[in-house]
Amino acid sequence: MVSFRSLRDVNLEEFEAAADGYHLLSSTARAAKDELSNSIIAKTMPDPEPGDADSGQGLVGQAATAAHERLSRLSKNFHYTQVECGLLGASFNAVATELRAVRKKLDTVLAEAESAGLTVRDDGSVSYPPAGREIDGKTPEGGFTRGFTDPTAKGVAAQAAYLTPNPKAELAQQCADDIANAVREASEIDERWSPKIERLKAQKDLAITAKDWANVHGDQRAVQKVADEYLERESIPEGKTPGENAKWWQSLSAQEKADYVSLYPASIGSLDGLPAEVRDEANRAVLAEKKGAYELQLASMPPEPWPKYLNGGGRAGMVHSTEWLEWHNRREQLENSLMGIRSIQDRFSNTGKNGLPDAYLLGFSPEGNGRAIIANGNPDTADHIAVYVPGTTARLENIQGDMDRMNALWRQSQSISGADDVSTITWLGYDAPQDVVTDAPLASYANEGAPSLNRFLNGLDETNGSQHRTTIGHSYGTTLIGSAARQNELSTDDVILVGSPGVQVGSSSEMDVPAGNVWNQDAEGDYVPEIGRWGHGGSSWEIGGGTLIIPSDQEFGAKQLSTDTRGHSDYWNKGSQSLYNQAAVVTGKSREVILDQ
Amino acid sequence: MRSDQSLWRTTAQEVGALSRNVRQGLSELSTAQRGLGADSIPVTGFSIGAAQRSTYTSWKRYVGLVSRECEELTGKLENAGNGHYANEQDTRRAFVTQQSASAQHGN
Repeated sequence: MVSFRSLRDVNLEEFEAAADGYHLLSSTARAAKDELSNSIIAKTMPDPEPGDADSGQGLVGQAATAAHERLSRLSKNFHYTQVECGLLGASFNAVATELRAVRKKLDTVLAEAESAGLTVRDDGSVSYPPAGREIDGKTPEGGFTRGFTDPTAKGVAAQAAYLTPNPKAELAQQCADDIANAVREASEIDERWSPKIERLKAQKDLAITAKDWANVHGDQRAVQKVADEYLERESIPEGKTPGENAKWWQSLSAQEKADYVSLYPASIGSLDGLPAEVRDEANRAVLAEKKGAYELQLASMPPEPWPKYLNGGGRAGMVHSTEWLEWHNRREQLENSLMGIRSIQDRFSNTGKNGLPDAYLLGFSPEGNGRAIIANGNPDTADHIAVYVPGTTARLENIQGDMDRMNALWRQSQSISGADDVSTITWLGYDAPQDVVTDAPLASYANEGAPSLNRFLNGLDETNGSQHRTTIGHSYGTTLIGSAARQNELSTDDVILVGSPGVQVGSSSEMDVPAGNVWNQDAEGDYVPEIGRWGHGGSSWEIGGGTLIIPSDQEFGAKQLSTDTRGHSDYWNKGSQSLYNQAAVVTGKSREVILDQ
Repeated sequence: MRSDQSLWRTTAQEVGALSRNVRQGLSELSTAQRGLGADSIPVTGFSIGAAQRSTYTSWKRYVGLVSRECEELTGKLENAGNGHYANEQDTRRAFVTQQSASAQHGN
């Protein structure tokens, strides 16, 4: 129970000072984590490819590995500190904000009491002086009254005050009740927040386990439950345009921004239009927490159920038991998600190795097929950006392959871009078809996913309007890009279509970019374009209608980039012409591309 | 190509800088707690304040632990850079051993 005196006399700035202290520590921890991840740890990495021109950049050997492990753990300590102290900062800001509102009400009541000649005593009771019309030659006596919050008690007291001949009695009762109310509100705030702050204690040792991150996730949810008065979850824009998201973000104070990231990282991290650094910080917290939660769930799964097979009877024969299937599916989902999560974390660890730039996690969620948007280099400050949309079978679990392609493209592009900064982005922002035979012919995946790509690109418009942008699709990813251009305005300067089975439109002029800025690559031995034509080819009435056209056709009107690789998947091979051509487009050097003759 | 020794030393310098930043962060946290002493109204009058004191203590302790870990690693990285350890195995052993008090089992 908070007392009247405490509420009256407390200096709320002390809570705000505490908030500032935790915020500062959180920022310091974040900077330390970044320093470790982006520069220091890379030095202790063993050479990736012996004989590489870049080799010799790191330490090798078992000693380096041991040092690497210690430093990696240290980085986790800093990340944990960053997130938990962020939550503490948010909590204290919430406490201060809520108590200020109550104090304001109290101060108003106290001012009114004073001007009415009443005295508020230290225990919150209110005394009133003799006042009123004389009765039998005497002024009605003064007295004092306590306040009540219980409605019945209030009613009784009000009645008594009304009946008293001293007119000040009623006013005093009113004041006392208002004071009691304020005290009750403050007590409620105190009771609500105290266990949360208790819960945000630091752990005792340097080991950061899956359980620790799962606990952080739990802490975050616990604080979310009580923080709504300070920062409303509903205020976070949902389903709005990137422009609206950006505007909302800019309307927040620095403290509010920090606290929104601490409290609601999943929501903030997915907002197109917010700065890359903000999304990255939020999504990294989500990644760490989900990893912890999933590892814990995996470790605590029951043993494989028995029997695995049951007689399904009749023609079904032996089938998996339901129990086994559920167990198996859950296990597989957890393992697959963890594989993708680890790939992303490996990418973080590899920053600095062979010049690989900082990674920015612009999107992440592990549910279902998963979402992952990872940028090499900061897209908000880059001069040239490439956004890559993968195709069939793309999912979080195998994100490594797609990231490798963008790493290769980044290296090739940065090597020819001179002083310009390049950022390449792997955009797994949609549910890709998973089966080449059954799913890939369907247009629904592209049509449903296209708006997300448009939103993402428009988000880049908000944070970096002046860059040169290339959108690259591979296989079914090109179909999505075509659908995006068809459904809305594709915000890009150049489009590269790689191994495209068709883009739903029949002409490059429908791709929303200037003529000559649509590029196509179709390597020898890549069978996807021809097979795909029948599902995703576009039509062009100029040719007499009904013909299905794919970007590899001359009629489509794309510029055909030459390739020296074979098959559907080798376009990003290091040192290849295929890769070089993409890099040339990405860096705005269209005169250096080599076209198919 | 940079030599191994100079890489160890550079890493040592960078981790050393981290160590200083961490101590700075801890000192700022401490300063921010000035108005939250045992006799202060936020602590005596609010359970939030009381809870805060034990939470703060736990962070002071934890960040102290992290700071000591930074220092221990700085020292070992320097040693590796100065040829202090006789061989690869000794260097490795140094990094696998945990000296900072109250940390568990080197992991």
